[in-house]
Amino acid sequence: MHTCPTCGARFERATSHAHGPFCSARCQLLDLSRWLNEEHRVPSAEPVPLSDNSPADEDSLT
Amino acid sequence: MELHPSSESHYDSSSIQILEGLEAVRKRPAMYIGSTGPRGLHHLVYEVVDNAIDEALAGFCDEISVVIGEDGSCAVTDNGRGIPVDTHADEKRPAAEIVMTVLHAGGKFDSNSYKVSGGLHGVGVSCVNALSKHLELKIWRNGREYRQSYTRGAKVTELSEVGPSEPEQRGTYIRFVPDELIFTETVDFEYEVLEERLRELAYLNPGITINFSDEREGRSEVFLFEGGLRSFVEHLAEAHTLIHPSPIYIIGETEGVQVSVAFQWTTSYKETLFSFVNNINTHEGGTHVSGLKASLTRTLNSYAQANNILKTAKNENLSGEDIREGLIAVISVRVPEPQFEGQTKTKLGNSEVKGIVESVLSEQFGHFLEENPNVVRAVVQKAVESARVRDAARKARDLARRKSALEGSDLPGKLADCQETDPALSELYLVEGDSAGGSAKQGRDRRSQAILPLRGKILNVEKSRFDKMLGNQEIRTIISALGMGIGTDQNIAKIRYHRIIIMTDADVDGSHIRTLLLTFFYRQLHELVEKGYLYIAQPPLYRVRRGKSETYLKDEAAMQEFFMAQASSAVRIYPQGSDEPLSDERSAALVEALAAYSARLSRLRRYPPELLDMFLTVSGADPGFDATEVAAALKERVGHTDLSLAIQRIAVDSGDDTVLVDIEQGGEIQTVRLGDALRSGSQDRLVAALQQVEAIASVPLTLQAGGQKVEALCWPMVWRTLLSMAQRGYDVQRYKGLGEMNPEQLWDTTMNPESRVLQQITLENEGDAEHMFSVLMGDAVEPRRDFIQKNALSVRNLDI
Repeated sequence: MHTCPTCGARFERATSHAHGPFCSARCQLLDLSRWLNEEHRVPSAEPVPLSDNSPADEDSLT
Repeated sequence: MELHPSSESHYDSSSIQILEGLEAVRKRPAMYIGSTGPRGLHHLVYEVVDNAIDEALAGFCDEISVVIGEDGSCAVTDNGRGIPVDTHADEKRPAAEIVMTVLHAGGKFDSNSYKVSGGLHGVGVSCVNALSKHLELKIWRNGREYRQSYTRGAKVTELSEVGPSEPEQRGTYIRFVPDELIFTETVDFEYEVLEERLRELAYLNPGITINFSDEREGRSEVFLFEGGLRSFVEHLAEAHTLIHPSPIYIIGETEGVQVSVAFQWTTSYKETLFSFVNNINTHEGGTHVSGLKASLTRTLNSYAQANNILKTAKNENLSGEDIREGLIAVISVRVPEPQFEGQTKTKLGNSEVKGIVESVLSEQFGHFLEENPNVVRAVVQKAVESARVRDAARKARDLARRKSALEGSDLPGKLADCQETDPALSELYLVEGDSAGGSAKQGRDRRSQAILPLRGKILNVEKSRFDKMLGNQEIRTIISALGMGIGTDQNIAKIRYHRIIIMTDADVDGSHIRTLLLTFFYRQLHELVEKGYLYIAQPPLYRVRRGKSETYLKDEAAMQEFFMAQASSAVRIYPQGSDEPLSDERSAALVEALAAYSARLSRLRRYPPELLDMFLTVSGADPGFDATEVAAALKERVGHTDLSLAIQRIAVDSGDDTVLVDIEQGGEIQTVRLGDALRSGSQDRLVAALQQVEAIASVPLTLQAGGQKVEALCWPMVWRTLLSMAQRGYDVQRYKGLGEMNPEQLWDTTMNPESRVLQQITLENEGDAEHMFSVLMGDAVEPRRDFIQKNALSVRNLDI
């Protein structure tokens, strides 16, 4: 099962997948419209205040 | 078509005019019932049923039965008043006979009988009679039963009373067998076709029971829908996800026109609209449908505008088409004098109906919206999306067309194209920043390498929040440079380069742009990624120079590795009290083990590495340690060790037998608890790494390089000293950006196909990739921030 990046629907993807990772042409075009409208953004890390910078407990990563 | 000779013989001279009327029907049946195909055949049934419905609408009938017989006949029975049997004053014949034999006599020979009438445009049951091989009529009226039979429109018997009816029984029974001389294609009724129409009629006329059975197949159904159009819409919406729990139902009457509408929004992208006038399915719509659409559009837009729900850039209204996406609606109107237009006469023409429908709808729909703001929001969101999809599709077509129209001459101005025209031999570098782009243009092999400089765009969203994105222009530029189109209009065969190489700075900004580009390619130019055309350049992060020799190192780990190799040869390591340094092999093994241990130690950010190391050393990394003894040993160590930590207090928590250490950091006291993680086993791998180190040597150690000699008391200190000694004599330069390299350096390290390292992007872990993208690009700020802080600097984590 695959999750559509636009609508979150779970779907079985055919091997040919005509719409890339999307469930439909509609969801693909909605995503394209977000790129063209500059809505896909990554928040910059610079202004993150120090107090929010608490490191996670990583004992379990050892 | 000639009438059957036998039927003619039953008519006397007074009937000739009437006979001519029905003869016309037999000559040109399509003029009266539309066609002689299956559609016309089924219309016969509708015509008879419609008469019964008219009786029901007048309030005299509540049950209708339709039976398809094994002989291919159709019998329709109602419990209405029964067709009048008394002799008609003008015609001097029973009224029932006139109904059966005179065109346009149907249910309307007395204009006061029915306020509104459905039926097949009023041609009447006489048409059915004319086109039937046999027709049998029974009327129960005034406590008596009457019968008459016809063949091909001509009466076989007079209307005669056959005796008393059952008590309380009244109504009309008409059973007919369609004439195969007329219906040459087929005379077989189709169950599904009749079922659909009868079901429809039951929805349109709530409270009427319609029994339908087919004796040929032994199937039967009963249709009764007290909910009327609401039930109809619920039925149509069965397989859909609903946006609001139940249909909106509006009824009203103005100027003698009755209006009922039910509608329901679903998450589907289709619009489903059924419209009826006097029970007739108006396939071509008409003024009632225009009124419905206009009212929905206007009411929803004005509500959304007034309540600030519509957040489009220009505050534009939503189009009706977008608003109706996912809408299932049924409108039924009853109009006293309907005018039908259009090809199949199924379009309502009465202009006054539009305004009537609008006025009935707008007020009640407005109330509904007031009470259901969530529905408005959902519908508006859907409509906005639908508008965006159409807009994006148009833009995608424009972008694809622009390219093909000018065939290469419309390449973006920023692109420095290559000379090669074979895509398989051409590369496109997407380079972050204009200055790096400039260096790349100078340093490249212009025969096969094209350069497109790109810039990220930064937007100050709030006081303390900045968002990074790819500008609209950058996206368009990439699309034009690639030449394969976008959206649903893309064609990988037209791509101009078979290697697209993303080259960004090794800093946070660079990783953001790389992430955005990867996401864009992965989502919108998926096939390109699938074909393996996408790569990431690996520019070095460090340059290490000693004398004339230069080495480029791509990241922190590579640099560490480089200096580790130097350390084991440049530094001599003496165990305590020994003049004999460790052998080359042992010191190389020690450096390697120490690197692994240090890496694990620094990952546990909760503990200062030196403190944890010291704790593990004095406790022997034994889970069964004695806290009091360890605390005492730590205190003694602290006195002798040159620590970078300001330890304020060392105590024992007798509750769980652990050691508490207070450390001052930036004016604040932080308490670190030691021992619980060791006991729980979560530090097992760290302990194993330490044991590897201690199998080779133990602290303190003396390190010597050149004339410098240092005594290191703990492992973190050994590691630091080793690295700094190894770096002596080297000049280390960290490249903050690609722009710091000159064109030759950029060529040598990153672009020269002979020596560069490219990381190919593949779709092996697509699920992970999409998860990463959705976290990075998603709406949830917290997980995204965490993710970026942990991973932004690591190219490895961006591998797809």
